[in-house]
Amino acid sequence: MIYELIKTWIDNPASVTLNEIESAQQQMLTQLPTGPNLCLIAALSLIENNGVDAIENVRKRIRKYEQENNS
Amino acid sequence: MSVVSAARGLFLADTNSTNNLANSKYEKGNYPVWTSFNGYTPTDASYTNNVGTWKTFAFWRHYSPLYNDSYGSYVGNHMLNRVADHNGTSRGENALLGFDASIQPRIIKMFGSEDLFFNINNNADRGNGTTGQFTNQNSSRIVSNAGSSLGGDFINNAITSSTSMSNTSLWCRKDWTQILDIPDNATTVKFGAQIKVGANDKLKIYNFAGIYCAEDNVSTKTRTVNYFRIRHTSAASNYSLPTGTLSASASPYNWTGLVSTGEEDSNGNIKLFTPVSTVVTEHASLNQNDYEEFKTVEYSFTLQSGTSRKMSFNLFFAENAYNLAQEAGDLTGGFQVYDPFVEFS
Repeated sequence: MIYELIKTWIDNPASVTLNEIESAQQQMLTQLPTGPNLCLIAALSLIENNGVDAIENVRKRIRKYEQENNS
Repeated sequence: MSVVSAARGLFLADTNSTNNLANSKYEKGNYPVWTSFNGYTPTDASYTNNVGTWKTFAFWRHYSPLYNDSYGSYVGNHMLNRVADHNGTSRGENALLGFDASIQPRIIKMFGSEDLFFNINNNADRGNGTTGQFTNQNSSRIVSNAGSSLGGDFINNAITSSTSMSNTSLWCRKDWTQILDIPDNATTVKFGAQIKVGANDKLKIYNFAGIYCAEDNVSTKTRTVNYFRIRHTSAASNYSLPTGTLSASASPYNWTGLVSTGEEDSNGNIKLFTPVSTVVTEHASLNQNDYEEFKTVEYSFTLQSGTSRKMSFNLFFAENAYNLAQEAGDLTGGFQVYDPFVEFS
């Protein structure tokens, strides 16, 4: 679900609110800090602190998440 | 000289009966992740159960020149259970702990980023012209260590704006630092820890990790460094790093970090330090294949003379610039440390 939220933000940043990002961050802290989950935490932090300026880095974190999830 | 002994049983015992470090087993329930402020200094005694981004460990200060998120820099660590999952033939591995795990002694596992993230990091001579202690984060050296025996000779030749941030002779290093008061009557110090590089997460070629101690003379901009490192096994990774009194061009690109005096800026963060003269002693370059299980390592050195002295103790992970620039996305390897210690005498 959080993965989908970030993908939605990549497609259309304006469609995701800051509240949704902050809520997702809190949810991630209830998960085990595995490699893939660290990628999602990083992406959410980049969105919160940098907005669209970090969209390429958010994309990279998501690619890394997908790579680690499929390995 | 090292003294190496295997830690026995499933439950890691304390490393040394005397320890001048505080919170050496990361027992306050804090779990920093992804990014934090360099030198961030909270009120340590009450700093417990802080998890997530922009956090630290009680008594430990974060430093990395690799800016990854706004004005934060990269944090790469896991916290592991000190009770191993015994598999019948060896000690077994230590399980990853959750953010919400109960307060308990923990192993820290440091790893790299495999990414330069932003252009501000893709600038080998970043910070050129700034030396001594300073507060401008943008003036920190992205090159934390530089050698002469791999992709280029940066001991005898200067790093310039045209130097590539993918050169195998350059490293970007991140630290967990603790500032210590040195007793006035102390002349020597012994430092060490139980360390491990697991068989399933070996250091990537050219990456190295370890522990260093730094003593700074702020007025002369001199840093004295004593360290050991653990490295990849291949012959290609058995390279040397500069030791002794480094040249004026090499000093600012080796062993930079938080100032060992612990002096803080107006925001309460410890200032940064780039030396103009660096004196380095390497106590050991260890082969990671000899540390697949936890072993205790310890080293001693003579302290700089004086009174009211301070020293920084630093766990570090140095990631090779070539590996950073490739962004290959594979594992950087992990350096595990349990109960590091410092003993003055």
